[in-house]
Amino acid sequence: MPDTLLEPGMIAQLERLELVVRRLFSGRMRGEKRSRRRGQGSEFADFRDYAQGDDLRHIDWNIFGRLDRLFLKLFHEEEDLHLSIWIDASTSMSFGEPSKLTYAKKAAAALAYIALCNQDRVTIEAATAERMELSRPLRGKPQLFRLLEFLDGIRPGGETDLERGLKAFALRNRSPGMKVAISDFLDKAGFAEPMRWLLRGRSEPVAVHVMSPQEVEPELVGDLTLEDSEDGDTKDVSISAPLLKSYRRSVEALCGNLKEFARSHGIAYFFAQTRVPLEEMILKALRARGVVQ
Amino acid sequence: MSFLAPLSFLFALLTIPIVVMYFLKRKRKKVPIPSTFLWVRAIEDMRVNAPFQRLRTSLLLLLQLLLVVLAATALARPLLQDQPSRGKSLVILVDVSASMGMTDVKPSRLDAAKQAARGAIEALTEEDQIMVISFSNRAEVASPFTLDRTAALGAVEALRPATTATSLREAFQMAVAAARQFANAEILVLSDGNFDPIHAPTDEVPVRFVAIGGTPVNAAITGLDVRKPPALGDPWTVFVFIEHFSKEAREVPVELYVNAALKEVQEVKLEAGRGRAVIFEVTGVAPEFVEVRLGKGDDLAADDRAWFVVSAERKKILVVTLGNFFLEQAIAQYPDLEVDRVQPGAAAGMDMSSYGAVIFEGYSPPGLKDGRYLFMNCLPEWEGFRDEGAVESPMAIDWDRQHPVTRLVEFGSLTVKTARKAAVPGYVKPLVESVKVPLIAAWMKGETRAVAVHFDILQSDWPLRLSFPLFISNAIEWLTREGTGDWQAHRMPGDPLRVRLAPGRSEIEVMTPGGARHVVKVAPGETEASFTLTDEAGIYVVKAGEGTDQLFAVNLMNPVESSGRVIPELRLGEESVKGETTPPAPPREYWSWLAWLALGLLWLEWLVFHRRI
Repeated sequence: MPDTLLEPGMIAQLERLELVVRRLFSGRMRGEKRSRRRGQGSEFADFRDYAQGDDLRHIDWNIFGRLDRLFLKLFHEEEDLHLSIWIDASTSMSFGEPSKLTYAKKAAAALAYIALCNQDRVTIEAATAERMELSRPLRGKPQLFRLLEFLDGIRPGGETDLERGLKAFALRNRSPGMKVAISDFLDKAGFAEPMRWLLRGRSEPVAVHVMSPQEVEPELVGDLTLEDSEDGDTKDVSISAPLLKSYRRSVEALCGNLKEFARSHGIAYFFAQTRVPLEEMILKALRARGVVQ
Repeated sequence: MSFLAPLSFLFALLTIPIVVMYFLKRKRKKVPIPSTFLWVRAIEDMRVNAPFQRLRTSLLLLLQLLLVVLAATALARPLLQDQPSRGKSLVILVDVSASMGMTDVKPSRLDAAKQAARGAIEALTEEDQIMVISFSNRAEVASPFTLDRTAALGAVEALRPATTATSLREAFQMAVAAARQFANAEILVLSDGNFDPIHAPTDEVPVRFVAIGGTPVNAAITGLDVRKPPALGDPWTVFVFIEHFSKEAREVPVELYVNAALKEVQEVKLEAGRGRAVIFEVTGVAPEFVEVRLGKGDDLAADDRAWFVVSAERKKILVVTLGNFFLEQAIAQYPDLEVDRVQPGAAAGMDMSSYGAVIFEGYSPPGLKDGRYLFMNCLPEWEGFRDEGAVESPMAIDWDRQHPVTRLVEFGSLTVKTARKAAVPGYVKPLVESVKVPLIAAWMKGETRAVAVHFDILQSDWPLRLSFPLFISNAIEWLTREGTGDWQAHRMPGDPLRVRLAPGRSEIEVMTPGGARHVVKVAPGETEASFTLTDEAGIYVVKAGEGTDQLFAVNLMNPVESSGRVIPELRLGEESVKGETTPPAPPREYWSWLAWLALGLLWLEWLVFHRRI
């Protein structure tokens, strides 16, 4: 059901938020975001001397009256923001209780709704190594239903290929704005190269790392054969405390590396356990980091 | 260390299927996970300390094997004891005599002995065999050699205290005879040691002795006699001798029951370790049977009561004498006696079989047949009896205080001018002894029962003493008594009752003090019946013919039993076995520890399986 992705209580809270981009950039259409371009907006920015050919409508006649000199009033141009969200829809995302993909969809829905409320442009794509689903660009609150319908339609399946997915995502969304990648980042090829694609273009990159509690603290016992859900790779293990300790170190290493990579490349990184309520994530973590306000 | 159930080690074979299953188990359960990406790194990490990890993977197997081995060991019931007791044969001799009923060790000495026996039995393994023999005045096999410890324990539990004296000899001989058939045999004696030292070969069977008992407080009736009044209208006299075996003086009420009715109570002060006589005078009633009780309880109840049956029959004696005033006076003291007198010359060849006893004074006729005789200053012309001259001024230094003839008779400071030195056969028992020669002796041989006084009473101050009429009275009493095997003044528990049958009867009926009725059948032609189930003290009523019942009193009256002394070591001829004061502690079984350990291992295994470790 589409409406389970966004709970009514949360909708009210999301409506009060807006996305924040630290870099100012120009949008394609006039929106509600301040842009670095001075001009048509309503918010005063600065004065400057009149030069020939400037729009006479922006001359400050009060100052002319007092100083007998022509000054031009400059305004922040208010622009729209392009929020593009990339969701990893590989099979591994279907694990966890609640599943990582569901969590990813909810997070995407929340972020997209914030954007829709602020007249920002939203595109969402869900990708695996083999396939890719792309939403139509959405704008304005009335599009919420379409957004939810698209998210609801995303089905997990296929292998993870961050490199291919993010590369295509980056190339498709060159316009300035906010690029959000939601994934478990469990790619045997590594995450560093693919993540660099997020840095392309003049956009604000955000990485949301989703992990289920079952991955952080596996509830496994005895001698087992672990089977990879994507490539069918198997590993024989005898579960023991040292092995689990080692596994935990491995999880910490993945998270730590991601975090470090993001920090050094200016990517906003969020770790999300699917057991942690979404409100906590959107309303607290993102707000604290200044991604929304 | 040894094991009670070594067969249980077969359970250890369970380790084989465990190992087999461990190797068959290789097929692991498949678990789908999002990605092996994280696990690959974890497994690689683990490989760094591989040898230890390999051990860890088989840790569960090791724990399971250890668990099974521990459980099997626990089931085998290991024992911690000094010596292994494989294939041992243990003979346990348990004293059940009267003194074992003492309560100076709680709950009683017999219970302590049973406890010790249980400890000894529980110390044995399933391969050891046990024999249990109880002994009092006779030995009884409570349980023959058995491998079944439960049966042996049951036999020990079923032991009941008797009220009899103690004799270890028979039991010990039985034990040695049984034990010497086996290589690794041992005899364990559980007793307080209230018996005479025995001279019995042990045949190199090791003997252990556990001395049981403490320091008892016990007052005992060790003598009871009822005398008829010398003249009509005089009171009956009841002599009671009470001994007190304790380190402290004590006051005890002595109750006298005549014909089952309480007649009198005397409060008697008993000094520590001493005995004293108590005399009751009974008037107004002719006693048929008398009971004396000590009112205050003590550590042994069996010797606090004594019974006496007053003989109703009239005794008949013959005195062969030239005439002796003192002797006549003394005989006259004995009530209800029919006395015939003859001169020595007329005695030869006379038929004396109708008399209960014959007294020869200074002369004994030749060709004397078996019978009951008192020889005064003369010896019978029988084999082994010879006069070997005289001894001047002998002093009585010791006398038999137990013998019925000299009981309650005082011989100290007796002055005798000349005594005869008599050569006598070995069976003659000296009753009163001087330094060199016996002054008075007694013996029983076949049908004969005799007392001999080896000096002329007129050449001594004896006739003037109180002890003389008492002695004569005792001698007549003992000589005229029925039966043969009767050394004691009273029948002791376990002694047979011999009853002369009325003509034409072939059975007697006996009622015991406990109220049980027994019928004893006698082979035709026998004139005497014997009843042996006299373990109880009290009055036995015997119906032997028409008319009145015969009463028999059976009393413990055994100062050795009543003393409750505990011997420090057991004397067996030249050997002596030091008493172990502490009963053999049952060896500690520690299967429970192993079981706990196994449980701990199980828990550890659970922890390991659920990767807590």
